[in-house]
Amino acid sequence: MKPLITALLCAVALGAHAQFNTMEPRAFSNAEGKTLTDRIVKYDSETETVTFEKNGKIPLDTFSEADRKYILHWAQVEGFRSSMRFKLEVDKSSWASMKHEQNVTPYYIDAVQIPGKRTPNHTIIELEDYEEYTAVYLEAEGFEIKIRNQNFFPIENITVESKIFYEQEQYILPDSLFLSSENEYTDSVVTNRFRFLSETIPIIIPREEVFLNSEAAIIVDQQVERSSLVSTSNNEDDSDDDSDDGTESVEGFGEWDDHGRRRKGRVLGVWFRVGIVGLDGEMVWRDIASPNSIMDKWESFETAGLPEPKETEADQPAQS
Amino acid sequence: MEVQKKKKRIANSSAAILSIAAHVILFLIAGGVVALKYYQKEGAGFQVETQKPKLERRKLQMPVKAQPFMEQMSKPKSRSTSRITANAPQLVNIPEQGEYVKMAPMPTFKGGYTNFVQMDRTLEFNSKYRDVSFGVSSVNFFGTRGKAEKVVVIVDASKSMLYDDRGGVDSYLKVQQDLKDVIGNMRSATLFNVVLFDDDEVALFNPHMVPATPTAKTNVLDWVSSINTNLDYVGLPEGYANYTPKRAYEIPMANNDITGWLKGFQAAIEQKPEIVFLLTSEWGNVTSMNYGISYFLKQDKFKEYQKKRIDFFLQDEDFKEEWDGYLAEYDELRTVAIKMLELENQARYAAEMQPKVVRDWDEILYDNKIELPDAPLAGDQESVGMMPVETRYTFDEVLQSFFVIVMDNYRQLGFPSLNFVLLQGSGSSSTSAETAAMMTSDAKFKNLNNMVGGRFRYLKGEAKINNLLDQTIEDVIDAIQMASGEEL
Repeated sequence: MKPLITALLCAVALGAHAQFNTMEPRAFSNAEGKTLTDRIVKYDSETETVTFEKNGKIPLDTFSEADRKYILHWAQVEGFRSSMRFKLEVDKSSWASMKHEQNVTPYYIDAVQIPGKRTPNHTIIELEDYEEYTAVYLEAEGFEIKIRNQNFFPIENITVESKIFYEQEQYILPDSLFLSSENEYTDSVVTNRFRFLSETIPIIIPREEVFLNSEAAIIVDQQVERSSLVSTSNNEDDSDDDSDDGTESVEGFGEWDDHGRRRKGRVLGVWFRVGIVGLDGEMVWRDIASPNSIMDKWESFETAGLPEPKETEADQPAQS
Repeated sequence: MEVQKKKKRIANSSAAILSIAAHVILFLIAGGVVALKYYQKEGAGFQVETQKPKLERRKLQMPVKAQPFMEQMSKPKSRSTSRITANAPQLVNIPEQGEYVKMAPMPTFKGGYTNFVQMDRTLEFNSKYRDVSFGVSSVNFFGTRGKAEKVVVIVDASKSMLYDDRGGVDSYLKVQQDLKDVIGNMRSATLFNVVLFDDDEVALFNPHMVPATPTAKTNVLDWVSSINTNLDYVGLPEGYANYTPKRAYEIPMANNDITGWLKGFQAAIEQKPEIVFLLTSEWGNVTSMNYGISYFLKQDKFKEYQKKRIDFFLQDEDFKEEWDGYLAEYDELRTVAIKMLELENQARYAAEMQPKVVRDWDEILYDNKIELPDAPLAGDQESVGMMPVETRYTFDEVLQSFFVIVMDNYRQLGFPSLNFVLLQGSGSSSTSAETAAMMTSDAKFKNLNNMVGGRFRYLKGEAKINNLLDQTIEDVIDAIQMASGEEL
């Protein structure tokens, strides 16, 4: 027990020390050219004083212009990194939806381009003894990120990038009445998709909340049900020999009941990353995802959604 | 004894854990003293900050009592006329920038958020400082009504508005008059734009919405009134088309297949108006003259299919001769039709009428009860190697494209208010078998309208214009021969 506790205490102590020791000491100079080499511990924007690890508190205006810029940049980066002082929250919401369902008379149209004409001519065969139920449900879902600056100073030039991940079933075969009985419309494939969005916020002032959104993921749920037979009358149809023959199965159409099909989709999640330019000129990013497991699927934000994810299992290669 | 021992041990270890925990906490406090002090100070500072007059002033600048207009827009629309025309300022605009940044004092934003349209921002920004209902105009466009601060009217400028059975040029003049009234009645602070479309060409009055000032009103009316008034030159005049899409959409439809009202609508939606009025005459870029069916054609697939179809028939040696006969007949009828149209228009000019606008050259043949021979149908469609259904977009595919175009632009803001007006020939009926099968323009527009909770009206065109001449093939062939004899 004791060694464990000791190890724990040491880890805590090292961690606490490490937060002040991540950067090498830097040389700062004042207006008269005097220099000091130290690490910044804190910047107080109200009193405009800088606290150094060894030299203690020094007013900001004693430093050269370049150093003042550096100190303010340092404060922004530290303020940005802090999950307490620069808060990120993600919420999912349904933005709009559109639904259409209807029973219609199925039909077949052939279109022929007659030479010299602008528009094609049509031959239409309506299967008046039949009825099909068609439904389409379109939904736009997306995520909102709330960014709140609880620092006492503004954070500038923030980049917000997002990737929304979703999957959508697609049909391989077109929805033609004339497909043979070998094609039973069990042909939909799942396609993984993501949509990327990058936006920049020039400034977030203290206590300000900024709301940004991911791109919309459009989810399609489409259904065709051809089991509803209106009648099985044996009337002679004079339109063409390809139309219904008065029985449940139609020549060249396969089994009528087998024409039913459905394709669906769903939103998998979102990965937001928020960044500012760090002291070394490289971007400092903070990541947030919903659900969190999205971040485990890929090595990094850049590769997320691209082919060859870390866990290949049942995942299809994603579309860029 | 053993029990007591155990108890003792438990007591000892608890004390040790408590002690360790206390030390850990103390150590953390000591280690992070600077950060903790920082937060404590800030916490206190927060209380003070909320009282700062700077933030209070911000409240005054925003019409906070008004609901954001986009929230209004995404709600299901009332179809009750009385509610729509109510005087209460329901569709009040809190500009998008206010939605976007909820706590910011406005003047600090000098940079550009990337999701703002640069020119719009100034207008949105200025709108914060004006009276809440100042820019809200009531619009009544052929019976579709709404109140909004940002209005786009989309008008079909194609020749399909000018067919004889739709009343010809008089129907279009009615459209122009209504458009004049709508724009004329707008308040000067209302932002508006007019979009004209003709097949794959789209013309915007202005690249962005503009305030409905007297100058802008005069300019837009001049701009519109020169179109389709002289039927010798129908459709959008050359040089009018000025629209290119702002972004690429991931949609089932190919870019070059988005034409007609859908392209005009795309141009309008990219300006993010609160309310859209659309006047058109047809759904798709292909409308059958005989059946009234209308759909969007997959142009590339259609070319491929036509080639495969002919190849399939030409596999049969005997068919080649038959096909040559078809071609010769089409050619002859085409010559006849062109002459018929020429004679009809000569008669119309003589009667001081506008010329006849036709869907295709064979229309005048049907007018004179002459039919083109039907092209042969494939007995076994699968042998052709392609299904005709692959050459056109399904209703669902168009719906999906429509939905994506709107949501890619509006995202969390939801749907704008949409209004559809369909020009209909005075004698046409909407109860055909094709309507039951959802093939016609009106069936499709009605369904779309129901889905988006919009308002739908028919614009009944003026009375059908009848041909002045009854012509037969023989008469026309004689006329052609006479003309060629004169030339010789």
